[in-house]
Amino acid sequence: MSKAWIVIKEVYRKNVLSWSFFFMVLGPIIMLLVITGIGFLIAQDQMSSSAGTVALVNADDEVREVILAGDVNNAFVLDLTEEEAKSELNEEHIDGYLVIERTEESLSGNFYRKPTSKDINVGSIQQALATFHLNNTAELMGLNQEQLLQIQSSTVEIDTIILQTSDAGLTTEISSQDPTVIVRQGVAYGVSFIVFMFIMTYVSIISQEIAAEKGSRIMEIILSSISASTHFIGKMVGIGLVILTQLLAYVILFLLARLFIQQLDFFNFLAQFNVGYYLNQSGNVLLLGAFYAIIGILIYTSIAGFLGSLVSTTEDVNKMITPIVFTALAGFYIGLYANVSTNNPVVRIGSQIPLFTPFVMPFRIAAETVGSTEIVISFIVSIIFMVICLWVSIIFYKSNVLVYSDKGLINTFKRSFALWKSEREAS
Amino acid sequence: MRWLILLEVNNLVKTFGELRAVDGVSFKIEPGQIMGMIGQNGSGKTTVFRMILDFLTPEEGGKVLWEEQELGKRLYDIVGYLPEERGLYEKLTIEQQILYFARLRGMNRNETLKKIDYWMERFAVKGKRSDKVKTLSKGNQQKVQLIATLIHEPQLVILDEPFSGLDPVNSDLLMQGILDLKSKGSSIIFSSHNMNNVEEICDKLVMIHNGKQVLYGGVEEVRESFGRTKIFVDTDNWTESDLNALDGVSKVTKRGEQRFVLELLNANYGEAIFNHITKGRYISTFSQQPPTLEEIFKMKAGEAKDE
Repeated sequence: MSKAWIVIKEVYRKNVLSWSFFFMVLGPIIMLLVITGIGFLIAQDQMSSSAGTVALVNADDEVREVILAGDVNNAFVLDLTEEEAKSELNEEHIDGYLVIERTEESLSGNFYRKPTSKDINVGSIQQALATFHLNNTAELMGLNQEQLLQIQSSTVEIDTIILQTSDAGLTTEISSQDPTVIVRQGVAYGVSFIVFMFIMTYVSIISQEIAAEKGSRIMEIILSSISASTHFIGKMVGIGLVILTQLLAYVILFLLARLFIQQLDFFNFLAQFNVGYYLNQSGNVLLLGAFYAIIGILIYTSIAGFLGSLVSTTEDVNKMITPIVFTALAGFYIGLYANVSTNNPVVRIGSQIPLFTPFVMPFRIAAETVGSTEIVISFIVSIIFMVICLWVSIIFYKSNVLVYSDKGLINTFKRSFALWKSEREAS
Repeated sequence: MRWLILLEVNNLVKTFGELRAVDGVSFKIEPGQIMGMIGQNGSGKTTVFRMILDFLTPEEGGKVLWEEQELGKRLYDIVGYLPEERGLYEKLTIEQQILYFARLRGMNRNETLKKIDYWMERFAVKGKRSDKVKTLSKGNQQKVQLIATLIHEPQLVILDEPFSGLDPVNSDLLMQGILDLKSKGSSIIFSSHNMNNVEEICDKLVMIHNGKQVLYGGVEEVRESFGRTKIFVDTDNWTESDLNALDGVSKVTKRGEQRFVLELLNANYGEAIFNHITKGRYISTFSQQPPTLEEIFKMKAGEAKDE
C-alpha cells in the first residue's frame, strides 16, 4: 500500500470515527429541527392567542349578523354596554371589546384590549364590515352588482417582467412574482449557506490537523518517512473523503426523511404547489452551485493547509486563520446582498473573485442575471486560482513546517520563503 | 554484500542568509557503530541531522551517502528518527500510534501488530494497547515514542538529544535499545550534552562548534590526541606546594586530604614525576590520564569563543 494511502486512511479514520464528526453531521440537522420546533411553537401560540372572547358594543342587529358570519374564530358577547364591557375586560372575563360607530355614511369601530390580554386578530371582522359597508354604499349610490365589481377590480398593479435573451437569441419573459424565481433564490441561499458552513468547518479541521503535527514535532518523524508533498496531498485527499462522507450522510438522511414523510402523505400536499416542478427549474442553480462549492472548498482548504503549516503551536491556529474566515464571511454577505440586488457592481465583480464566487454566483444564476460567458469565465478563473492555491501550498509545505517562529504570519512566511529559495538553489 | 561504511557524510554546508549554519562537516559510520555528535545549543547539530534526513539540501556539493550512493528518499524505510522535542497523537491509542508510524516506515500491518506486545513488555509500558496516549504518564509516553522509533529495527538511527527529559529508567531502556540495534549492525548517531553518555556508549564522536567540525575520531583517539596531561595522585608524603614546585606541573588541585590532581605542561613529564613522587615506594594511586570529553568540550568551546 502506498504511503500516501496510509496518510489518507489515517486522516479519514481519525476524523470520521470520532464523536466530533458525529455531532458535526447531526449538528445542523438538530439545529434545523430546533428552529423548526421553535417556529412551530410560535405559530401555535400565535394561533391560539389570536382568538378569544370579544364583546360587541353598540352593534345593531345587521352589524352583529355580519360580524358573526364573517368571524368564526372568536366567541362574541352581545349584550353588554360599553361600561359593562370595560369592567368585564378588567376582570378578564373577556379578551377585548369592539365599539361600533355607525352613521348613514360611515361605519367604523374601536377595539379595546389590555396590554396583557390576547393579541386578538380583528382582521376578519374588519374584512366582513368593509364588504358590508361597501355594499351598503353602493346601494345608496344606486349602483348595481356589475358596477360594484367593476369598481372593486379597478386597482392598478405593476409587475416587473425580466426579459431573458438566450445565446441563441430567443427572448423569454419571467415575472418577478413567478414562484420559480423565489424557489431558485431559496436554492441559491441554501447552496451559499452550505458552502459557508463547510468552509468554516473544514478550514478549522485541516489547519488544526497540520498545526498539531508541526507543533508536536510529529511532522519531523513523518517527513523522515514520507515526502512532504505526498503527506500534504494525502491530508487533503483524506479531508476530501471526510467531506464526501458528510455529504453522503446528508443524502442518506434526506432519503430516509423522504421515505418517512411519504408515509405522512406530505408529498401529496406538496404536489398541490408543484414543488417538484419548481425544484427542477432550479436544477442549474444546484448543479453549478455544487461545482462552485467543490472548487470553493478546495481553495479554502488549500489556504487553510498553507496557513496551518506556518503556525508553530496549535494555540495560534485561530489567530492565523482569522483572515480567511473574514474573507469567507465577506463573501457570504456579498452573496446575501446579491439576493436583493443582483446587478450591483459589487456583486458583479465579487462573483468573479474566486474567494467570493461560491457565495455570490449561485444568487446571480438564480436571478438569471448572468450570461453563460460570465459563468464560464468564473469557472476558468476559479479553477486556475484553485490550482495556484494547491500548488503554492504544496511547494511551500516542506519549508513552512520546518520554520518555527512566533513573529506572526508575514514574518514566518518570509523565513519559509528564504528557506525555500535556498533549497531551490542548493538542489 | 556487507558494506564497510554505511553512512558517509561529505562536506556538509548549509547557509541561511548571511549565516553559515553548517560549514564543512564530514564523517563516516560503519555498521554497528555509534557516533556521538556534541556541540553547544545552536552549533548546527540539528541542521546536520536535517540534511541527513533530507529535510534540507546540502550546499556547495556536500553529499550524504548510504552504501556509497546518495541516500535521498531511500532513507524513508531505513531510518529511525527521534527529534529533540517529542510529541504523539494524544487521541490515538498506543496501538494506533505505533502502527501508524511503523506503516509509514514500510512495515506490514500484521507484522507490526505481532511485535507491539514484545516491545511494550520489553520497555515495561504500563497500560494496554487500547489505552489512549493522553491517559499515559509522561514516562510511559516516552516509552511509546521510543518503541515507535525502534520497532522497525532501523539500519540508521538518528536521535536528537535522546536522553534529555528521560528519567533514569527510560534512559537505561533507551541505552539498551541502542546497544541491541548496534549488535544487529545498525549505525547510530545521537547528539547529546551529556558527555558521560557519549563516553559510555559511543565508538566515535564529532564535535561541532559554530557550524564547524572541530573534533572527529574514536572517543579514545580524540582523548589521547590531547595527551595524558593529568595525573591523579593519592599520597601522604607530599603537600600541595611541594607538588606545585615539581618540574612540568602547571597546576595542582587538592581533591581530598591526600588526593591531588596535577596538570602537566606536557605529557612527557609524566615518567619523571612518577619516579620523583614514588621514589620506588608504594603509593595507592598514580594515574596519568588524558582530559575527559567534558574538559575537551569546554576547552574547544572556549577556544572558539576566544577566536
